[in-house]
Amino acid sequence: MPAKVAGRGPRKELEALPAGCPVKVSWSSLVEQVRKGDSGGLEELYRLFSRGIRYYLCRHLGPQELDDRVHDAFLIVVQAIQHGELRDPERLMGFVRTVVRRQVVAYIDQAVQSRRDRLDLDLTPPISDQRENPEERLLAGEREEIMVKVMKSISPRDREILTRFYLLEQSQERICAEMNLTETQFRLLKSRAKARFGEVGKRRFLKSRLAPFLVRAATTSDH
Amino acid sequence: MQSDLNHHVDEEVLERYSMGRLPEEVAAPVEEHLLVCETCQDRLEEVDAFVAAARAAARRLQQEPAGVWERTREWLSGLARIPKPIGALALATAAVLAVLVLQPWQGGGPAPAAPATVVLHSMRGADSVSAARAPAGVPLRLEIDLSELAERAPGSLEIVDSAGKSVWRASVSASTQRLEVTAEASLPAGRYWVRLYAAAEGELLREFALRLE
Repeated sequence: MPAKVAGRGPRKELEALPAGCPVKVSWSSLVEQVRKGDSGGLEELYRLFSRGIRYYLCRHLGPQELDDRVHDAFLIVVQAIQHGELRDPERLMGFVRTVVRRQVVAYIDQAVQSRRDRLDLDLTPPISDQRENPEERLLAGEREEIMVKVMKSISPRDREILTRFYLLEQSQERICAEMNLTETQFRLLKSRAKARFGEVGKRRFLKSRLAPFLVRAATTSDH
Repeated sequence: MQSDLNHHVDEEVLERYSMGRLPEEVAAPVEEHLLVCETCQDRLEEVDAFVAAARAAARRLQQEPAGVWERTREWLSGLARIPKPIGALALATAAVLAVLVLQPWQGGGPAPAAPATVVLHSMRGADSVSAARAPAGVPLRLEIDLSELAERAPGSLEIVDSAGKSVWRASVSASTQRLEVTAEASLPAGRYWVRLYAAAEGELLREFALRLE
Protein backbone atom coordinates (compact mmCIF):
# COMPACT_ATOMS: atom_id res chain seq x y z
CA MET A 1 0.00 0.00 0.00
CA PRO A 2 1.47 3.38 -0.89
CA ALA A 3 2.10 5.85 1.91
CA LYS A 4 -0.19 8.38 0.28
CA VAL A 5 -3.36 9.04 2.22
CA ALA A 6 -6.19 8.24 -0.17
CA GLY A 7 -8.56 11.02 -1.06
CA ARG A 8 -6.55 13.76 0.58
CA GLY A 9 -5.49 16.76 -1.47
CA PRO A 10 -2.20 18.57 -1.06
CA ARG A 11 -2.07 20.46 2.20
CA LYS A 12 -1.12 24.11 2.35
CA GLU A 13 2.38 23.45 3.62
CA LEU A 14 3.14 20.89 0.92
CA GLU A 15 3.37 21.60 -2.77
CA ALA A 16 3.02 19.21 -5.72
CA LEU A 17 6.56 18.34 -6.76
CA PRO A 18 6.76 14.58 -6.72
CA ALA A 19 10.41 14.00 -7.72
CA GLY A 20 13.01 12.77 -5.24
CA CYS A 21 10.79 11.12 -2.66
CA PRO A 22 10.15 7.44 -1.95
CA VAL A 23 6.47 7.75 -2.81
CA LYS A 24 5.75 4.03 -3.04
CA VAL A 25 6.48 2.60 0.36
CA SER A 26 4.39 -0.11 1.93
CA TRP A 27 4.74 0.74 5.61
CA SER A 28 2.67 -2.28 6.76
CA SER A 29 4.87 -4.71 4.91
CA LEU A 30 8.07 -2.98 5.99
CA VAL A 31 7.03 -2.91 9.66
CA GLU A 32 6.04 -6.57 9.48
CA GLN A 33 9.44 -7.49 8.04
CA VAL A 34 11.25 -5.53 10.76
CA ARG A 35 9.05 -7.12 13.42
CA LYS A 36 10.15 -10.55 12.19
CA GLY A 37 13.80 -9.48 12.13
CA ASP A 38 14.02 -9.94 8.36
CA SER A 39 17.37 -8.58 7.15
CA GLY A 40 15.83 -7.17 3.95
CA GLY A 41 13.33 -5.19 6.01
CA LEU A 42 16.03 -3.86 8.32
CA GLU A 43 18.12 -2.79 5.34
CA GLU A 44 15.14 -1.06 3.74
CA LEU A 45 14.31 0.73 7.00
CA TYR A 46 17.91 1.89 7.28
CA ARG A 47 18.01 2.99 3.64
CA LEU A 48 14.83 5.02 4.04
CA PHE A 49 15.58 6.74 7.31
CA SER A 50 19.33 6.82 7.95
CA ARG A 51 20.03 10.00 5.99
CA GLY A 52 16.99 11.75 7.44
CA ILE A 53 17.85 10.75 11.00
CA ARG A 54 21.45 11.82 10.45
CA TYR A 55 20.25 15.12 9.00
CA TYR A 56 17.86 15.79 11.88
CA LEU A 57 20.37 14.93 14.59
CA CYS A 58 23.13 16.96 12.94
CA ARG A 59 20.82 19.94 12.60
CA HIS A 60 19.89 19.89 16.27
CA LEU A 61 22.98 18.51 17.98
CA GLY A 62 25.86 19.21 15.61
CA PRO A 63 28.24 16.80 13.92
CA GLN A 64 29.88 15.42 17.07
CA GLU A 65 29.40 11.66 17.61
CA LEU A 66 26.88 11.63 14.78
CA ASP A 67 27.46 8.04 13.68
CA ASP A 68 26.89 6.73 17.20
CA ARG A 69 23.75 8.79 17.61
CA VAL A 70 22.28 7.62 14.31
CA HIS A 71 23.07 4.04 15.28
CA ASP A 72 21.40 4.52 18.68
CA ALA A 73 18.28 6.01 17.09
CA PHE A 74 18.03 3.20 14.57
CA LEU A 75 18.38 0.56 17.30
CA ILE A 76 15.67 2.22 19.40
CA VAL A 77 13.29 2.27 16.43
CA VAL A 78 13.94 -1.35 15.52
CA GLN A 79 13.59 -2.60 19.11
CA ALA A 80 10.42 -0.59 19.62
CA ILE A 81 8.90 -2.08 16.47
CA GLN A 82 9.93 -5.59 17.51
CA HIS A 83 8.39 -5.07 20.97
CA GLY A 84 5.11 -4.10 19.31
CA GLU A 85 5.22 -0.47 20.40
CA LEU A 86 4.22 0.76 16.95
CA ARG A 87 0.54 -0.11 16.69
CA ASP A 88 -0.27 1.60 13.39
CA PRO A 89 2.38 0.90 10.70
CA GLU A 90 1.12 3.87 8.68
CA ARG A 91 2.42 6.11 11.46
CA LEU A 92 6.00 4.87 11.06
CA MET A 93 7.35 8.27 9.99
CA GLY A 94 5.74 9.99 12.97
CA PHE A 95 7.03 7.23 15.22
CA VAL A 96 10.61 7.66 13.98
CA ARG A 97 10.33 11.43 14.42
CA THR A 98 9.15 11.00 18.00
CA VAL A 99 12.05 8.66 18.78
CA VAL A 100 14.60 11.04 17.29
CA ARG A 101 13.08 14.09 18.99
CA ARG A 102 13.21 12.33 22.36
CA GLN A 103 16.80 11.47 21.69
CA VAL A 104 17.61 15.12 20.97
CA VAL A 105 15.86 16.26 24.14
CA ALA A 106 17.74 13.63 26.16
CA TYR A 107 21.11 14.74 24.76
CA ILE A 108 20.31 18.37 25.51
CA ASP A 109 19.19 17.58 29.07
CA GLN A 110 22.36 15.57 29.53
CA ALA A 111 24.46 18.48 28.23
CA VAL A 112 22.68 20.95 30.52
CA GLN A 113 23.22 18.68 33.52
CA SER A 114 26.89 18.07 32.80
CA ARG A 115 27.46 21.78 32.22
CA ARG A 116 25.88 22.59 35.58
CA ASP A 117 27.96 19.92 37.30
CA ARG A 118 31.10 21.29 35.71
CA LEU A 119 30.25 24.83 36.75
CA ASP A 120 29.66 23.65 40.32
CA LEU A 121 33.10 22.08 40.30
CA ASP A 122 35.44 24.66 38.86
CA LEU A 123 33.53 27.57 37.30
CA THR A 124 35.23 27.06 33.96
CA PRO A 125 33.18 27.56 30.82
CA PRO A 126 32.01 24.42 28.99
CA ILE A 127 34.48 23.01 26.52
CA SER A 128 33.04 22.09 23.18
CA ASP A 129 34.17 22.87 19.68
CA GLN A 130 31.41 25.04 18.28
CA ARG A 131 33.36 26.50 15.40
CA GLU A 132 32.37 26.02 11.80
CA ASN A 133 35.03 24.22 9.82
CA PRO A 134 37.20 26.37 7.50
CA GLU A 135 35.28 25.39 4.39
CA GLU A 136 31.92 26.24 5.95
CA ARG A 137 33.32 29.53 7.20
CA LEU A 138 34.59 30.40 3.74
CA LEU A 139 31.29 29.57 2.08
CA ALA A 140 29.30 31.48 4.70
CA GLY A 141 31.58 34.49 4.27
CA GLU A 142 31.18 34.43 0.49
CA ARG A 143 27.41 34.16 0.74
CA GLU A 144 27.37 37.05 3.21
CA GLU A 145 29.36 39.24 0.79
CA ILE A 146 26.90 38.45 -1.98
CA MET A 147 23.95 39.26 0.24
CA VAL A 148 25.51 42.55 1.35
CA LYS A 149 25.85 43.46 -2.32
CA VAL A 150 22.23 42.51 -2.97
CA MET A 151 20.96 44.48 0.00
CA LYS A 152 22.96 47.53 -0.98
CA SER A 153 21.42 47.42 -4.44
CA ILE A 154 17.82 47.59 -3.22
CA SER A 155 15.90 50.54 -1.78
CA PRO A 156 16.25 51.40 1.93
CA ARG A 157 12.61 50.49 2.40
CA ASP A 158 13.06 47.02 0.87
CA ARG A 159 16.21 46.55 2.92
CA GLU A 160 14.31 47.47 6.07
CA ILE A 161 11.68 44.86 5.26
CA LEU A 162 14.31 42.14 4.83
CA THR A 163 16.11 43.29 8.00
CA ARG A 164 12.92 43.18 10.00
CA PHE A 165 12.10 39.70 8.76
CA TYR A 166 15.48 37.96 8.77
CA LEU A 167 17.44 39.79 11.48
CA LEU A 168 14.82 41.09 13.89
CA GLU A 169 12.58 38.06 13.24
CA GLN A 170 9.43 40.13 13.11
CA SER A 171 6.40 38.30 11.78
CA GLN A 172 5.22 38.77 8.22
CA GLU A 173 1.87 40.02 9.53
CA ARG A 174 3.48 42.71 11.67
CA ILE A 175 5.81 43.88 8.89
CA CYS A 176 2.97 44.02 6.37
CA ALA A 177 0.79 45.98 8.80
CA GLU A 178 3.48 48.45 9.85
CA MET A 179 4.91 48.98 6.37
CA ASN A 180 1.65 48.98 4.49
CA LEU A 181 2.39 45.90 2.39
CA THR A 182 0.19 43.15 1.03
CA GLU A 183 1.19 39.52 1.56
CA THR A 184 1.89 39.22 -2.18
CA GLN A 185 4.18 42.26 -2.18
CA PHE A 186 6.04 40.83 0.79
CA ARG A 187 6.54 37.43 -0.83
CA LEU A 188 7.54 39.06 -4.10
CA LEU A 189 10.19 41.15 -2.38
CA LYS A 190 11.71 38.09 -0.73
CA SER A 191 11.52 36.13 -3.95
CA ARG A 192 13.27 38.93 -5.86
CA ALA A 193 15.98 39.14 -3.21
CA LYS A 194 16.58 35.39 -3.49
CA ALA A 195 16.70 35.55 -7.26
CA ARG A 196 19.12 38.47 -7.12
CA PHE A 197 21.22 36.58 -4.57
CA GLY A 198 21.41 33.70 -7.02
CA GLU A 199 22.23 35.93 -9.99
CA VAL A 200 24.96 37.93 -8.28
CA GLY A 201 26.45 34.76 -6.88
CA LYS A 202 26.33 33.03 -10.23
CA ARG A 203 28.18 35.90 -11.91
CA ARG A 204 30.72 36.16 -9.14
CA PHE A 205 31.45 32.53 -8.58
CA LEU A 206 30.61 30.96 -11.89
CA LYS A 207 33.75 28.94 -11.93
CA SER A 208 34.00 28.27 -8.22
CA ARG A 209 32.58 25.32 -6.33
CA LEU A 210 29.82 27.56 -5.01
CA ALA A 211 28.24 27.65 -8.45
CA PRO A 212 25.97 24.59 -8.05
CA PHE A 213 24.49 25.94 -4.83
CA LEU A 214 23.95 29.41 -6.26
CA VAL A 215 22.45 28.18 -9.51
CA ARG A 216 19.95 26.13 -7.47
CA ALA A 217 19.21 29.15 -5.27
CA ALA A 218 18.41 31.23 -8.36
CA THR A 219 16.09 28.63 -9.85
CA THR A 220 14.29 27.59 -6.69
CA SER A 221 13.46 31.19 -5.79
CA ASP A 222 11.28 31.60 -8.87
CA HIS A 223 8.15 30.19 -7.30
CA MET B 1 -1.61 14.95 11.06
CA GLN B 2 0.11 12.47 8.79
CA SER B 3 2.96 13.36 6.46
CA ASP B 4 2.40 13.24 2.72
CA LEU B 5 5.21 11.76 0.66
CA ASN B 6 3.68 12.81 -2.65
CA HIS B 7 4.22 16.50 -2.08
CA HIS B 8 7.32 18.46 -1.22
CA VAL B 9 7.34 21.16 1.43
CA ASP B 10 6.29 24.61 0.23
CA GLU B 11 9.16 27.14 -0.01
CA GLU B 12 7.59 29.61 2.44
CA VAL B 13 6.92 26.86 4.96
CA LEU B 14 10.48 25.60 4.62
CA GLU B 15 11.76 29.10 5.31
CA ARG B 16 9.60 29.47 8.41
CA TYR B 17 10.79 26.04 9.57
CA SER B 18 14.40 27.09 8.99
CA MET B 19 13.80 30.16 11.16
CA GLY B 20 12.12 28.08 13.88
CA ARG B 21 8.80 29.82 13.41
CA LEU B 22 6.44 26.96 12.60
CA PRO B 23 3.82 25.90 15.13
CA GLU B 24 4.10 22.26 16.22
CA GLU B 25 1.04 21.11 14.29
CA VAL B 26 2.63 22.28 11.03
CA ALA B 27 6.21 21.40 11.96
CA ALA B 28 5.31 17.76 12.68
CA PRO B 29 4.35 16.71 9.11
CA VAL B 30 7.19 18.84 7.72
CA GLU B 31 9.74 17.03 9.91
CA GLU B 32 8.26 13.63 9.06
CA HIS B 33 8.58 14.46 5.38
CA LEU B 34 12.15 15.68 5.89
CA LEU B 35 13.07 12.35 7.48
CA VAL B 36 12.59 10.54 4.18
CA CYS B 37 12.88 13.20 1.46
CA GLU B 38 16.41 13.99 0.31
CA THR B 39 15.18 16.66 -2.08
CA CYS B 40 13.63 18.66 0.74
CA GLN B 41 16.68 18.09 2.96
CA ASP B 42 18.80 19.70 0.22
CA ARG B 43 16.31 22.51 -0.25
CA LEU B 44 16.27 23.18 3.47
CA GLU B 45 20.05 23.45 3.49
CA GLU B 46 19.82 26.07 0.76
CA VAL B 47 17.14 27.96 2.66
CA ASP B 48 19.27 27.79 5.81
CA ALA B 49 22.21 29.22 3.88
CA PHE B 50 20.12 32.06 2.45
CA VAL B 51 18.58 32.92 5.81
CA ALA B 52 22.02 32.91 7.47
CA ALA B 53 23.46 35.12 4.71
CA ALA B 54 20.51 37.53 4.88
CA ARG B 55 20.82 37.73 8.65
CA ALA B 56 24.58 38.33 8.58
CA ALA B 57 24.32 40.91 5.79
CA ALA B 58 21.48 42.78 7.49
CA ARG B 59 23.41 42.84 10.75
CA ARG B 60 26.50 44.17 9.03
CA LEU B 61 24.61 46.87 7.16
CA GLN B 62 22.81 47.91 10.33
CA GLN B 63 26.14 48.52 12.00
CA GLU B 64 27.53 50.52 9.07
CA PRO B 65 26.64 54.23 9.08
CA ALA B 66 24.52 55.08 6.05
CA GLY B 67 26.33 57.02 3.34
CA VAL B 68 25.30 60.47 2.14
CA TRP B 69 24.17 59.01 -1.19
CA GLU B 70 21.90 56.48 0.48
CA ARG B 71 20.32 59.09 2.72
CA THR B 72 19.80 61.42 -0.23
CA ARG B 73 18.22 58.59 -2.22
CA GLU B 74 15.95 57.74 0.68
CA TRP B 75 14.92 61.37 0.96
CA LEU B 76 14.24 61.63 -2.78
CA SER B 77 12.16 58.47 -2.81
CA GLY B 78 10.17 59.85 0.12
CA LEU B 79 9.61 63.08 -1.79
CA ALA B 80 8.31 61.17 -4.80
CA ARG B 81 5.55 59.64 -2.67
CA ILE B 82 4.25 63.03 -1.54
CA PRO B 83 0.88 63.96 -3.17
CA LYS B 84 1.02 66.68 -5.85
CA PRO B 85 -0.91 69.41 -3.95
CA ILE B 86 1.76 69.60 -1.34
CA GLY B 87 4.58 69.11 -3.80
CA ALA B 88 5.23 72.84 -3.82
CA LEU B 89 5.55 72.87 -0.08
CA ALA B 90 7.92 69.94 -0.32
CA LEU B 91 10.03 71.84 -2.82
CA ALA B 92 10.01 74.86 -0.57
CA THR B 93 11.42 72.79 2.24
CA ALA B 94 13.90 71.14 -0.09
CA ALA B 95 16.51 73.79 0.56
CA VAL B 96 16.26 73.25 4.29
CA LEU B 97 16.44 69.49 3.90
CA ALA B 98 19.36 69.79 1.52
CA VAL B 99 21.29 71.56 4.25
CA LEU B 100 20.45 68.66 6.58
CA VAL B 101 21.54 66.13 3.96
CA LEU B 102 24.92 67.78 3.65
CA GLN B 103 25.44 67.99 7.42
CA PRO B 104 27.83 65.55 9.06
CA TRP B 105 25.67 62.69 10.27
CA GLN B 106 27.67 61.89 13.31
CA GLY B 107 26.33 64.96 15.10
CA GLY B 108 22.82 63.69 15.61
CA GLY B 109 23.57 60.86 18.00
CA PRO B 110 22.08 57.39 17.63
CA ALA B 111 18.40 56.76 18.19
CA PRO B 112 17.56 54.43 21.09
CA ALA B 113 18.01 50.85 19.91
CA ALA B 114 14.83 48.86 19.29
CA PRO B 115 14.70 45.47 21.02
CA ALA B 116 15.86 42.56 18.90
CA THR B 117 13.44 39.64 18.89
CA VAL B 118 14.94 36.26 19.80
CA VAL B 119 12.83 33.13 19.38
CA LEU B 120 14.03 30.37 21.72
CA HIS B 121 13.08 26.74 21.14
CA SER B 122 13.30 23.85 23.54
CA MET B 123 14.51 21.62 20.70
CA ARG B 124 17.48 23.84 20.13
CA GLY B 125 20.67 22.40 21.49
CA ALA B 126 24.05 23.61 22.52
CA ASP B 127 25.69 23.67 19.12
CA SER B 128 26.62 26.70 17.10
CA VAL B 129 24.23 25.76 14.31
CA SER B 130 21.14 25.91 16.46
CA ALA B 131 21.95 28.53 19.10
CA ALA B 132 19.61 31.50 18.80
CA ARG B 133 21.46 34.55 17.56
CA ALA B 134 20.83 38.24 18.13
CA PRO B 135 22.69 41.51 17.84
CA ALA B 136 24.77 42.53 20.87
CA GLY B 137 24.26 45.82 22.66
CA VAL B 138 20.51 46.12 22.20
CA PRO B 139 17.57 45.11 24.41
CA LEU B 140 16.30 41.62 23.69
CA ARG B 141 12.73 40.57 23.22
CA LEU B 142 12.77 36.88 24.20
CA GLU B 143 10.02 34.63 22.87
CA ILE B 144 9.73 31.12 24.26
CA ASP B 145 7.39 28.34 23.20
CA LEU B 146 5.98 26.77 26.38
CA SER B 147 3.91 24.08 24.71
CA GLU B 148 6.24 21.27 25.82
CA LEU B 149 6.20 22.29 29.48
CA ALA B 150 2.73 20.84 30.02
CA GLU B 151 1.29 22.32 33.22
CA ARG B 152 4.48 23.59 34.79
CA ALA B 153 4.17 27.34 35.14
CA PRO B 154 7.32 29.41 34.59
CA GLY B 155 8.30 31.74 37.43
CA SER B 156 11.53 33.42 36.42
CA LEU B 157 13.89 33.87 33.53
CA GLU B 158 17.63 34.36 33.82
CA ILE B 159 20.45 35.09 31.40
CA VAL B 160 23.88 33.81 32.39
CA ASP B 161 27.15 34.35 30.58
CA SER B 162 29.46 31.56 29.40
CA ALA B 163 31.05 31.37 32.85
CA GLY B 164 27.66 30.84 34.48
CA LYS B 165 27.48 34.35 35.99
CA SER B 166 23.97 35.79 36.10
CA VAL B 167 23.73 38.97 34.02
CA TRP B 168 19.96 39.52 33.99
CA ARG B 169 16.99 38.06 35.82
CA ALA B 170 13.27 38.77 35.97
CA SER B 171 10.09 37.24 37.28
CA VAL B 172 7.79 36.02 34.53
CA SER B 173 4.32 34.61 34.15
CA ALA B 174 2.55 33.27 31.11
CA SER B 175 -1.13 32.80 30.45
CA THR B 176 -0.64 31.36 26.96
CA GLN B 177 1.66 28.78 25.36
CA ARG B 178 4.09 31.55 24.45
CA LEU B 179 6.20 33.60 26.83
CA GLU B 180 7.35 37.03 25.67
CA VAL B 181 9.75 39.03 27.83
CA THR B 182 11.90 42.05 27.04
CA ALA B 183 15.32 42.07 28.66
CA GLU B 184 16.33 45.73 28.77
CA ALA B 185 19.95 44.91 29.54
CA SER B 186 22.19 45.61 26.54
CA LEU B 187 24.64 42.74 26.70
CA PRO B 188 28.00 42.63 24.95
CA ALA B 189 28.82 40.04 22.27
CA GLY B 190 29.42 36.52 23.49
CA ARG B 191 27.78 33.24 24.42
CA TYR B 192 24.96 33.18 26.91
CA TRP B 193 22.43 30.76 28.32
CA VAL B 194 18.81 31.67 28.91
CA ARG B 195 17.36 29.70 31.80
CA LEU B 196 13.69 29.30 32.52
CA TYR B 197 12.77 28.35 36.09
CA ALA B 198 9.51 26.99 37.44
CA ALA B 199 7.30 29.17 39.63
CA ALA B 200 7.19 26.45 42.26
CA GLU B 201 10.52 25.54 43.92
CA GLY B 202 12.52 27.37 41.25
CA GLU B 203 13.41 24.19 39.36
CA LEU B 204 15.24 24.66 36.05
CA LEU B 205 12.74 23.89 33.28
CA ARG B 206 14.67 24.73 30.16
CA GLU B 207 17.97 26.18 29.05
CA PHE B 208 18.54 27.79 25.66
CA ALA B 209 21.81 28.68 23.97
CA LEU B 210 22.06 32.31 22.88
CA ARG B 211 24.82 33.95 20.89
CA LEU B 212 25.07 37.74 20.72
CA GLU B 213 27.12 39.10 17.83
